[in-house]
Amino acid sequence: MTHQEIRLLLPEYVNETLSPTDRVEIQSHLATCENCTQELEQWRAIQSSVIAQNAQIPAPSPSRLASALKAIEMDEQQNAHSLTHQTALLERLANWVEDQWQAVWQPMPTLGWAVIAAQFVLIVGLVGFFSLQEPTYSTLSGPSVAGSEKQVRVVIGFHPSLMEAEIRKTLLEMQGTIVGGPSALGLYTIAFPISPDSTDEIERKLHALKQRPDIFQFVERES
Amino acid sequence: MNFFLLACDLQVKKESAMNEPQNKVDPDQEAAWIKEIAAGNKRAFEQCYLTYQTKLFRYCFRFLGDQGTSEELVNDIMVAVWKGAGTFQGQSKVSTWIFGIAHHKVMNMIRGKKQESVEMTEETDLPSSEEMPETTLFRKEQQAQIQQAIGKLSPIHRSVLELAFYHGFSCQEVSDIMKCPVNTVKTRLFYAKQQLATLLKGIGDRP
Repeated sequence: MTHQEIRLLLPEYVNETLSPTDRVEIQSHLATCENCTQELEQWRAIQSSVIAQNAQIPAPSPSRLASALKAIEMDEQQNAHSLTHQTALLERLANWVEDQWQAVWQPMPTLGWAVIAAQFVLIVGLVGFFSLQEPTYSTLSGPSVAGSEKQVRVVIGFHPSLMEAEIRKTLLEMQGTIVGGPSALGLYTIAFPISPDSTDEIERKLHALKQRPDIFQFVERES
Repeated sequence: MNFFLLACDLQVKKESAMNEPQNKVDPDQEAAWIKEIAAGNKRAFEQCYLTYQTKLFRYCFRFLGDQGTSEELVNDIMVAVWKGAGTFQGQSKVSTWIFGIAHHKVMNMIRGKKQESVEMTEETDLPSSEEMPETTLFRKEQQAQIQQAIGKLSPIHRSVLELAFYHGFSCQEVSDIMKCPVNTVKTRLFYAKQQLATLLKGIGDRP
């Protein structure tokens, strides 16, 4: 150990908490180091003073043990009361559950099991039904636009003075659904439930749209 | 059990006969008490109480300076021991565990009463070899002045001196009690000595 390391151990050398090996090493260092010997004396003086101060302290009252035991007893009673209270609550809950069981289910066990079985079958059936459904995607404004339904798409430009309510009303009347837009030019793609093969019907629809220039400024079938 | 109680009685008689510092109790004996206390054995609690009463009372009294308050605090500490015995893991010695409770409660009480400031300038460095105070300041004839100076130290520094030099705890044990690193304990010890030298110089310079 270095001089500094030994110096740091001097308080423990004084209070005799060092290992015998460390004590021997310190003793041999003290034999040759004047500074550590002086410092050791300082620590011893401090220790003597601390011990002397404690010797002046009066003795504690021996009757205090009784009050500690009393405090423990009171704590135990309080805990017991709290535990009893909790147990009573649990007992009441258990009794209530038991009463419910006896009052409702026990007189008709067959019916009870039948209801449980029916609920189980219903839940399994519903989960199976919904999980097997083909996913569909709907716009907020109308019916499904994806999937197998046949439709014709028309690009439309609405008159700028139109209100949203008027557009919605007209589209509902004409069975059209907005499926795209607005584009950079302000055009919308509207889907109509017409088979792409029904050329006449498509022509009629386009004609009807073009007849309303107050609403549709631009009408063109999507290429 | 009879053997256990007989052993406890003998230990208490031995302890009560001793009014000196550094009176150590066999750690196995203490661990047995705590185990018994955790199981609700009041007789073991009584043995433990009687063993620690004086030590704890003195430790409390050194900071509170009042017999009644110190006795009440000792009871608080021992009731905490009763309640916490089941949680004692045995990772430290029973004595350091009990003194840890005591230290915590004493420091809290001082803070609560605001009689003294527990705050201090936290020293972080261990002393260098050049920092040794003059030996003449710590002569044994000056014990009264040293005691007076100790009384002026911060509670933390007084506490470290009490635990090391009256109760005989090692630096590792003091660090367990104070819940701080061992080096902090050593730094506090050397800082306390340095402070004492400054205070003693002041006392010596007075006309």
